[in-house]
Amino acid sequence: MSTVPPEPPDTRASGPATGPATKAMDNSHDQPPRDEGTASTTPRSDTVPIMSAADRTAVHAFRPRRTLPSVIVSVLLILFGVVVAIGAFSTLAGRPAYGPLLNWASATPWQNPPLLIGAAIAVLIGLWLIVLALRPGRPSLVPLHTGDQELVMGMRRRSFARSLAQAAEAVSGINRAKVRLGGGSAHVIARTRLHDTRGLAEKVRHAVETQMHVLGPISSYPVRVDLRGE
Amino acid sequence: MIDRKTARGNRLGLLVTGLTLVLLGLFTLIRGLGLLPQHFAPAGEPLVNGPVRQAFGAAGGWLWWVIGILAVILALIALRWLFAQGRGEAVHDMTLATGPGGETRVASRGLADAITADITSHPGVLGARATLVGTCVHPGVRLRVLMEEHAPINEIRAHLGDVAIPHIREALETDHLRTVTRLKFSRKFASRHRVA
Repeated sequence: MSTVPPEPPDTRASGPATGPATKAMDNSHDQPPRDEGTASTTPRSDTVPIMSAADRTAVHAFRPRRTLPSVIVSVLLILFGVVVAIGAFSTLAGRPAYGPLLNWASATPWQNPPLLIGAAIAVLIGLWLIVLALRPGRPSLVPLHTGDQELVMGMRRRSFARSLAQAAEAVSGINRAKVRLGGGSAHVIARTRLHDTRGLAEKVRHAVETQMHVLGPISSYPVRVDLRGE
Repeated sequence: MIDRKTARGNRLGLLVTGLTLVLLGLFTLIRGLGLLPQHFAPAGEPLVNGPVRQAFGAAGGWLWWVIGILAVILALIALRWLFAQGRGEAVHDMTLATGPGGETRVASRGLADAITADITSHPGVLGARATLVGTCVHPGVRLRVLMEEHAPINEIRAHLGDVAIPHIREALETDHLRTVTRLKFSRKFASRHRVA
């Protein structure tokens, strides 16, 4: 357990807008969507300061655990071990269990095409496992600022997106809104029946950005607004 | 919820397996494509050839013993890896500092219920579930909080940080408590459509 004293409570809740979220807002119009896979420890734009220890802890807490690949690989390894063990001990007992396998191996040269194809597949699978192991992966929850290293908070992605969508729907003139979090940005699709939509997109953007500021995610999600007619 | 040790172990296991596959596959490809010097590793040779048989013959049984035992060890390690996936972090009982008056034992269930009651006391919170994790020296709490759709999230955040968690710290008699909270909005109250 760390002995670093907790950071002073985040004042963004009540005070004026500060911090990375604001900076991201100014650039949001022109920035292309970012690859969200890097949302872990690298700063996401030139203006975002290096993450605090509390934020890093939060991001780490919600990284994928790689459970499913581990289950699959461990089961396959168990089977492999059992098969080899049966082969070895049966041979020792004088009744080798894998006669046909031995015959195949004695007759098959290294340059046999199916063997090489199998080897290539093995290399690809191995590389994929290595990538799975080393890449941080996208957090299943959106880590939120808390300012306290010992309090880690995350919000379900769908809840986060819905909260932003509701902020968009609260803008008068907007009937329905949907927010998709992907590619490092928040893509808002807002539907309206109004004919005169001057300034409406700007209002929606402002509403969504304000709500984003309230929620306080650690990574910034530049807002893209797409106004569509009903 | 699986813990960080398991997550780290998973990545390590995937890394080792991946590396092994890559190395074996690459060796097979290199050998099979004739990229090794052909006078001692010809590509046309069968997988199991004379020298291999000789090695096994000369070694007698012990080579098979080694292979067999290694295979069993591999299977056991993989089994342990598999079981680690199901291992949750929740603890059932936590013994706090042993003082002159004796031990203080905290039943996790009771404490978890108390925490839950504390958190749900806030109007915007529909439900919560608390799980005690870690050890008595390094306790931790895992919280799942279900909020109403229009709940003021900052208030809930403040309620957690300023009220609920200090209470837990007090109950566990510790200053350092790592809490991981998962927030979720409920679908219960569907958003009303605005008529423009």
